[in-house]
Amino acid sequence: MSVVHINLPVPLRKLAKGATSIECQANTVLDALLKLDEIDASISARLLEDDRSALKRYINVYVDGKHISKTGGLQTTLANSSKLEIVTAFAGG
Amino acid sequence: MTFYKMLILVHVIAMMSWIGAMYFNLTLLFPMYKSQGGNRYADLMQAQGTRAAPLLYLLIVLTLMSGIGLALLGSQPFFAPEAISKTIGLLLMAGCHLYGSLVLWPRVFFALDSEKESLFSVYRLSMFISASLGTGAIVASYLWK
Repeated sequence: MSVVHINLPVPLRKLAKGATSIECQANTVLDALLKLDEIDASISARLLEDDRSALKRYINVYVDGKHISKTGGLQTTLANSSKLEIVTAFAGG
Repeated sequence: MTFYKMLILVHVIAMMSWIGAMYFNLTLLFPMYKSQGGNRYADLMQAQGTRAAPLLYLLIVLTLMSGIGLALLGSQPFFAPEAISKTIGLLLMAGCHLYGSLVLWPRVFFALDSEKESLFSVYRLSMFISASLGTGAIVASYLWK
């Protein structure tokens, strides 16, 4: 298991009692996102489709600055000290 | 066509497109999306939000820059009541949209399906405020002429 850092986006920080990032042990991006449920049970449901096969539309995850669609999706293997960023698409109107 | 007239054209078209699009959304598009119900409503609203953003900010920049250009070319003094009221209106409108893009939409994307409806209500309200301010700015510009 690798120790990875997940930077939490502002809307999820309230669920994490104000924490801006968390550290957890995970092998893949999917593992890491599911670990967020230890903070609040609803977080993975906010990020992943119901069958957990993909991220929800308009949600993006970067591992060490690379979008996971280019590195193997949710099964992207994480190295020790990898940094995950969770960001949304830009919208307005 | 002079540069001055071109700026007026850009200013008017950008402002009318911006405000017109908001009224179109509020009166036709959003009620139609809502009638689809549940997840379909959320999907359509999110698709609209992501597609509208680039055009919206282009129109804001065009309105602001052409307005500054017109003031610099002497259509009216910077501190005339008309110019001040239009500038305040424009900045408040831009504020509504920035609030939407930076605060509201990220919340929508991370929300559970059951939470989205109330966020869309706030979105519609901020759009209504923006459209009303824009309408007010246009009316003010005629009243002070």
